Amino acid sequence: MAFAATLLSAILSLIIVVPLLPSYDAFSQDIFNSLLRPGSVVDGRTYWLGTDILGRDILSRLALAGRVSLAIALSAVVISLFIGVTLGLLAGYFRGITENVIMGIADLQLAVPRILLIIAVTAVLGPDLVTLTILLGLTSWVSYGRVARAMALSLREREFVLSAITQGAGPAWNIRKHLLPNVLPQMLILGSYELGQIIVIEAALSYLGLGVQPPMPSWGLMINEGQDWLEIEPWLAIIPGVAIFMLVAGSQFLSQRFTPEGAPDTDITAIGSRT
Amino acid sequence: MTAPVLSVRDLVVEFDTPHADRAPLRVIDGVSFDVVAGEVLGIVGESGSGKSVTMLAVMGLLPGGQARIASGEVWFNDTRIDTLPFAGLSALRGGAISMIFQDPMTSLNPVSRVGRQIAEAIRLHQPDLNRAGIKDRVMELLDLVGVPDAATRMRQFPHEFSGGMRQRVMIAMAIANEPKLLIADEPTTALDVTIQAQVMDLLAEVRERTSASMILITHDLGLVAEVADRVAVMYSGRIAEMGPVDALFDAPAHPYTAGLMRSLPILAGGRARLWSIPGQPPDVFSRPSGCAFHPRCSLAQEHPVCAADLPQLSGPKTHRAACHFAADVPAWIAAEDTV
Repeated sequence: MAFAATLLSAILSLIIVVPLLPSYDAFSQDIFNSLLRPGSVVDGRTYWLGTDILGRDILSRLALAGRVSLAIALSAVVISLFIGVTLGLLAGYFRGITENVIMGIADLQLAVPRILLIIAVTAVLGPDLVTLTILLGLTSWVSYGRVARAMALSLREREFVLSAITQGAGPAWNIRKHLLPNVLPQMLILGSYELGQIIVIEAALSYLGLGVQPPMPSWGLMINEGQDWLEIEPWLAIIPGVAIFMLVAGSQFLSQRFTPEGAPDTDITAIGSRT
Repeated sequence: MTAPVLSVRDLVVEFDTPHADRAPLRVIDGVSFDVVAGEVLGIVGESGSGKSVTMLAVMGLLPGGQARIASGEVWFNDTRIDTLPFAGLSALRGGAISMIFQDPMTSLNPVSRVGRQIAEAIRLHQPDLNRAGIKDRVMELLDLVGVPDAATRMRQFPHEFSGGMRQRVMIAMAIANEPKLLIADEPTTALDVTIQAQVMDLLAEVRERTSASMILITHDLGLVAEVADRVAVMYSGRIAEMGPVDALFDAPAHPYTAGLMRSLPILAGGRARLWSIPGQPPDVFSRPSGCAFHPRCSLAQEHPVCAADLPQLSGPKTHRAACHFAADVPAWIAAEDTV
């Protein structure tokens, strides 16, 4: 818990604070000061994490890349959470044909690996930040949908739903007022877990050149750029790798900390491992 | 006699069985009763006798796809409600008819503030009321049902309330729109005896203010004797006996009612083994022929007609029993008591 919180708060404060500081520019190149080691001081300026092949300050690129990754991942989580919760609650509340159709689509989507689907679509549409975000959102709703449906199945039989019906409530009212508030905490925990997953996928796609495009920095892209220098200057690839680890591990551990123990409806790790 | 508020005519409710070749189960088989303005009708019977299913059918809440009203009519004031579509019933539910459930522990949404849940009951039927108006009404209702310090209590969650307080909240929700008919499905079963008395007093007070009729479903005969004006005794999906509470309890005209009365422990007098009606309530899958009670009825043993013919409710208009030998029942009771 404390470990996860430390990891997460360290990387988050770096992402937030560094771009606000003066004299750090993620894009200005300085070819004479390329590939400086971390901690080098040149002309009275300290490069805490060194510079890359074009002489750009790695610390400020790392922070900016973090903002990009986080923005993509958060938007994707919001999109998928919205789709997943809506479809899951509809499936669980109405049962019957609605449930069969929605869960059929979910199973179909589970059968196709997320990353493969995104690579295929990006190959056709071309790499673009907005496209990537929407694609990540559209392909990640299944775990929310399944958990929301499972919870809705038990919630719809609860007496307070029946009691609301005897007070004249219809399906829309019940889903909004009685089901949604009961599933939302679980969905947010699941969201923090999915956040890590999506950051990893985004990094992988950027590494492959299908995600964030240069000169915009991205952790995956930085690993790709550092790959050529792995033998002589390994920190170029290691630093963004550590950043990914801190953010992803931090959010995963933290989300597991908040998962109710032994709750079958909310065993997010079991569902996550299948996606 | 005033026109009935609720009138149920020959209600038959059927449930589908998992076996396609079997005929649907007649869980309710020809139930008729009226509730007139301001009266309390008690419905008593064993578990599985059809009390709750009757009320679900009246409210149009039978589980869709498995159960349906096969025949019969339900009239509320001058509207036939068993054929209304869902939207029409929604306007009625919680408006003119509202229901109080057995278990206040599970009937409130645990993640929603109590005040908000009462407000929902109001907003469903008065969508034009503004925030301040709703808030005032919620406070007024909480005051009315005897929840002290309403301003603080309405901001709390259900887990901060005791069982009795939660049932008060449920009652506040049920009366939020001044219903003409309250259906209370075992409202005190989940409560302590002392709290039971408070809740029943509260219901009486509330009914006095709103002049609502009430159907009280229970298997607590003492509660019925205390509260109800008239009683219907249900047995195996049919009404066995119906009449004014005093007449029915003093002089039961159906051996089943007599058996229920005899099964009560007697506080005064010597100690004796607690008497019970022999046998088990019939399974709806294999309801006995003729009178459903005949295998358990000592009066029926001498009369083959009990196993052959289904008795209809008969007798004087106010007090009727579904027994072929209703006239012989008092003598039979006297004979049984001396044994």
